[in-house]
Amino acid sequence: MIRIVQVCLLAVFAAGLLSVGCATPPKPRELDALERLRANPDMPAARKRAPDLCKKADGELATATKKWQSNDLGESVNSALLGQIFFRHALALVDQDKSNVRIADAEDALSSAAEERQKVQKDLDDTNEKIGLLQKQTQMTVEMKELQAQRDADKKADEDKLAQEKLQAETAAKVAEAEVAIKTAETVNAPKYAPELYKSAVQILDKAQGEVQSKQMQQAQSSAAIAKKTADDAFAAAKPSYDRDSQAEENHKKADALFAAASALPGVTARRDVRGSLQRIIVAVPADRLFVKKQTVIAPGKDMVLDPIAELIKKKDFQNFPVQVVGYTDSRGGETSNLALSGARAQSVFNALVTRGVDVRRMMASGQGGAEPIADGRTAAGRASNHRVEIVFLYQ
Amino acid sequence: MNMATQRNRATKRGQPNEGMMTRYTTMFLFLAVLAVPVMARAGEADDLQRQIDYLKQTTNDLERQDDQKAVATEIAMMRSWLDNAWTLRSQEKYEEVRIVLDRCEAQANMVRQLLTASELAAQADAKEKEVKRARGQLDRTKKALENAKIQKARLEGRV
Repeated sequence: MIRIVQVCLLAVFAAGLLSVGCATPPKPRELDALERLRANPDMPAARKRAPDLCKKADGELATATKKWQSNDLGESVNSALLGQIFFRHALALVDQDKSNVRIADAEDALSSAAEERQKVQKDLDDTNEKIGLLQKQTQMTVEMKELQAQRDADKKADEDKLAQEKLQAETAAKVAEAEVAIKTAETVNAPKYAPELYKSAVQILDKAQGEVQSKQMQQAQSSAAIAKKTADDAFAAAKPSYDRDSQAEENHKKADALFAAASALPGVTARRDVRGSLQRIIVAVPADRLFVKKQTVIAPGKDMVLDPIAELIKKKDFQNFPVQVVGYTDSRGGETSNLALSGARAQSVFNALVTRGVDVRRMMASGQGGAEPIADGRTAAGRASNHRVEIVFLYQ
Repeated sequence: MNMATQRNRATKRGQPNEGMMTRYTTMFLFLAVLAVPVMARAGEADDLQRQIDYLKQTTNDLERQDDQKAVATEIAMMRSWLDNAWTLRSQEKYEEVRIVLDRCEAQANMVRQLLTASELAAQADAKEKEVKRARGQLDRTKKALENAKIQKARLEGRV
């Protein structure tokens, strides 16, 4: 029995040894790696791309597996490594193809993008060019508007300035006119003959000048116009009085000169008197210096006394004096005959003066008879004085 | 006829000793037969050494080309294998050396392809970056065009 048990145990031990000796060793890591590599998703592509390499790898896989199973681990590892190399080689080729495809795709995309960008860039350039033109146009429009506005402003300023200058000139002219009018009024001594109007005109002119200073041209013009009108009125008001007084004064001066000259004449008497508004210078020529007895014709040789009188009448300074040739007689005799005698003698003297160049239009002749005696008619000397021809210069 | 007899005959005739000649030839041939395997083994060792040197040089070249260090592991493995091959050669295990060198050769070819694949991938990446940049530029240009059209329309309205 013991023997049987011993035999059995021996048999079991022998079987164990046998089983241990015949068991497959652990699979090499390289073989595992090769099998994982073979399951790579890219492997179908690799087989298509490099069928020879994959076939060789498959062969190495089979060899490695066989060697492993036959316990030849060294050979198994070597084949597994070779198989990996072949598979990885094939996969590298696949990767290259993929990269080439990526490169080609990228180049296509680049080309497409570049083409599209070129087109877009061209559109952009065109648009930017148009924008540039539009901006330039806009800028030019703005500049033109500004220029136009500036021109308008300048024009308006010029017009305003011109209008202002014109207004100033007009105002100055009107003020000058008023000043001239006042000066003109002064020439007729308006301060004397129209003092109210003159004073008013001067005040209004002062006001106008003040308004000119304060640039109130319209008011200045109005004031100057009023001042001018007032000055004109003053002139108009003063002129008649001025003229009259001036004439009178002049006449008086001339009359004084005339009287002095007449007084210096030989054989005549000169006197002055006033009759109404008329002033008179009377040059009395005794009748016996011209006539013989009752004659009416100037006696020959006696008319020389008229020469200086005629020269006096013709003298330029006295040409505006009207002259009356008035004959007188003494109070004796009939009035009618005296009037005729005095008138005839006056006419003779008149003619003699005309003969000596005196303007006939300046003179008139009349006879007054025995009127207006200048001496006592009761004496012979008085009657001789009253018997006369007077040359009367009239003035106002 | 043995060799000694032939030598004696040649001497006697005053001619070159045929026996000696034969003996020398035989010896030469014997030595040659003995030397051929030795020489062949020596030539094989040299040949393997040249292959190992060549593959080491190849490894260096590949390493120089691998500026992206994409195949550093494979090259390190190849160096290890070549060291192993050198050791095996030293141990005159020429058959095993050839197996290893064949594997190294295959590895070198694979590494070349991996390098090429890596370069192409880098090129593809660069191209794709370029594409991305170009598309970015295109998008910006399109946007600029859109804005320019808006500006143009606004200006046209103003003008």
